[in-house]
Amino acid sequence: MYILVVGLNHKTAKVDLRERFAFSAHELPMALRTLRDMKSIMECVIVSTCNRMELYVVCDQLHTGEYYSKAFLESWFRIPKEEFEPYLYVKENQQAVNHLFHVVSGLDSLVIGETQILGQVRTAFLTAQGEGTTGTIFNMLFKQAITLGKRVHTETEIGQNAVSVSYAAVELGKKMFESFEDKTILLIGAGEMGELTAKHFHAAGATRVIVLNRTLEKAQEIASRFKGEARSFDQLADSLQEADIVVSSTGAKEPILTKENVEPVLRNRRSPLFFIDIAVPRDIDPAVHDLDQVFLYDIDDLHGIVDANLSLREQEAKKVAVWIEEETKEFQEWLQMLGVVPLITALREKALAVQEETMARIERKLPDLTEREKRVLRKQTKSIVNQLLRDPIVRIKELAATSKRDEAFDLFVQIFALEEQLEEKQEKPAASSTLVKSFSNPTLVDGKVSISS
Amino acid sequence: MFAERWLYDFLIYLYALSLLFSFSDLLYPNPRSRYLSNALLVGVWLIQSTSFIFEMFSIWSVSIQVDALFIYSWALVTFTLVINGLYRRMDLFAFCSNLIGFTVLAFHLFFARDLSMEYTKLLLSELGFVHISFSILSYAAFSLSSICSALYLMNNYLLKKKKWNKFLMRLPSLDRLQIFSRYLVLIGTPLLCVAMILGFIWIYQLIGRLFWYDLKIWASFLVLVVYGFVLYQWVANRWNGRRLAWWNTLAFLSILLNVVISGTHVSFHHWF
Repeated sequence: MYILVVGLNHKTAKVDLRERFAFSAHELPMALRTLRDMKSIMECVIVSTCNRMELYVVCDQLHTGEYYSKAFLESWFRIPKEEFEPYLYVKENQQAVNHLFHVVSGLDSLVIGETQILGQVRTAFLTAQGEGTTGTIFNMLFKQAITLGKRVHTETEIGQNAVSVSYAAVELGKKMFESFEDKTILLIGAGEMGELTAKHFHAAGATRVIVLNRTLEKAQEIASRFKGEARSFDQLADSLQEADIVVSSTGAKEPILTKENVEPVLRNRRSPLFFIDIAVPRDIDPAVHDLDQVFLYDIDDLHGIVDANLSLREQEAKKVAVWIEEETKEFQEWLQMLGVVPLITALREKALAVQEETMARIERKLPDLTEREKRVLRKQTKSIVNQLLRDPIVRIKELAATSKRDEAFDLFVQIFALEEQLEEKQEKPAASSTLVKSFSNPTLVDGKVSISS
Repeated sequence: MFAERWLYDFLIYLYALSLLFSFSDLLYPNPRSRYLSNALLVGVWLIQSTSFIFEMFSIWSVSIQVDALFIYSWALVTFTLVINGLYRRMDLFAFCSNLIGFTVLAFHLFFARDLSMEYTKLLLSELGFVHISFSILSYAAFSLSSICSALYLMNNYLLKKKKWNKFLMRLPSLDRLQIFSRYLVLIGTPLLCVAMILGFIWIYQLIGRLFWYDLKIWASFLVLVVYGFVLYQWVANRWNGRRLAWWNTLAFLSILLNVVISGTHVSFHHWF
């Protein structure tokens, strides 16, 4: 059994190609069923976001799985393979698992540590599960991946700090104000960046927005977006009295706010006054920052915060990378154990059958046994069986994690003569679309753990 | 005796572990450490409260082992648990107040355990009991208020210097720190005022005018004046920001002076 990921993302393909490979939510179930019905593919999950399109598949042959995954993309999107093949990446087995863990942790995202992707992968998995295109392997893998993603976001600060200038301003504001709910934003000028910053404050809870601009019409246009109030530029001093957060982005050549303008405002204030100067040349005299309870941050300061946050995210990413390695190893071990389960089940069933047969013989030869004596005998014979089996089971589990796994499984089947038990399992009707493989390659033999597709 | 010692040692270990996890969470934010620290602190509070209740029941017959420092530490833990439970991002505040609470408790358990006779006598009087409990609660409120002001100064310094780092991220907002420090002073000042009036009445009945010779009374008066001044400047002269925070932080020295005077045995208030 092989795990494969075939896809493209923001690193390998530009948006004009990515947009042609987007699965819409309503056509995804159909796409999943179509992909699952392709030759060699037994389980599949499709992750489709604005930054990536990835097919996760479990297949019985690597080459065939890869071929039919690409063929599916070609036929579904009606784009010749030659056009998109150079932008595709294909990762196999351990690499594919590792890649999925990177994706859910946000380490493969455009902005390291973003949290949205975790929800998107979760939705993709649940959709696939709902369509019945996942089985034992992907049920385990995606649950493990989602748990890892949650852990990354709760136990690290990877996604907690702003990585854009406008969000950085909001984050700074949170260090001054407990809440923005009763705060007034004063937006000076009609710059795009200023408006975006005001928009973030508004989204963070600020209810009142005052817009000042030299052209009143423009101020009114912007104010209407926030259900705010537009004022002419000569009302600057009055507006300053009402403001808690001032965002300035005019095209003025000289500072429009100086220490002398701001000082009188502070006499009646109890809470801090936060100035964000996004304009270049700057609108606010840097000396304003020296006043008590006043904090002035310009565009460079905000960029500095973004850089610090990015490097913090990178530090956290190193921690997450170690977890990913551990999780990948854990999954590999689980996967390897998966092959040994049918053998152990067969051995146990055979041993218990022998025990039951022996008990029946004893009961025939000693008909006077009381119920209590029979119980004791049954318990003791089972105990002998369990003790005898304990070591071989432990050893075969250990061998399952080594490179000599296949030889060990063959030997195990031969020594304990399990061919008959495994054949019986093979002959059972495939009521649950159980994938059954030859026991000559016991890793693929289906036993208690069915690999449904 | 052994059982009692064992319980006190257990309490100290529990408190130390809580502090350790809290410190680890400050350095490397981790919900498990935070959870463990809080759970252990709840454990500390439960043991303290249980000891406190048991001692209250035996007040009338057995000598008291719970003294003022013990109750002060209990009050700090209680305030911290309430504030930490109600507000987010108060980890640093909780750590600072627990550090003081732990130091005081450790001091009480290892050095000041034989000083309770006079305190017992005092507690036997209802007037004395109200005087002591109000005083301790006011000291706890003042201590927490000063912690908030110290954190305010740190936050203000980092924002002024534009030093965006993990420490700043852990600090509560200036607004919250300012409000907490003000309201804690607002709670503490009338409590201490009432406690001192009751104390005067009670001690006057016992020893007459001689109580003026006790340094501790003057030190308590200093606490009242200093925090009263802070409160007055905030309300009447609308002081706020850095200036008020500095005053409020330095006001904590008056509480430390109180502890020193109590420890020098020059006062009849040996217990605090």
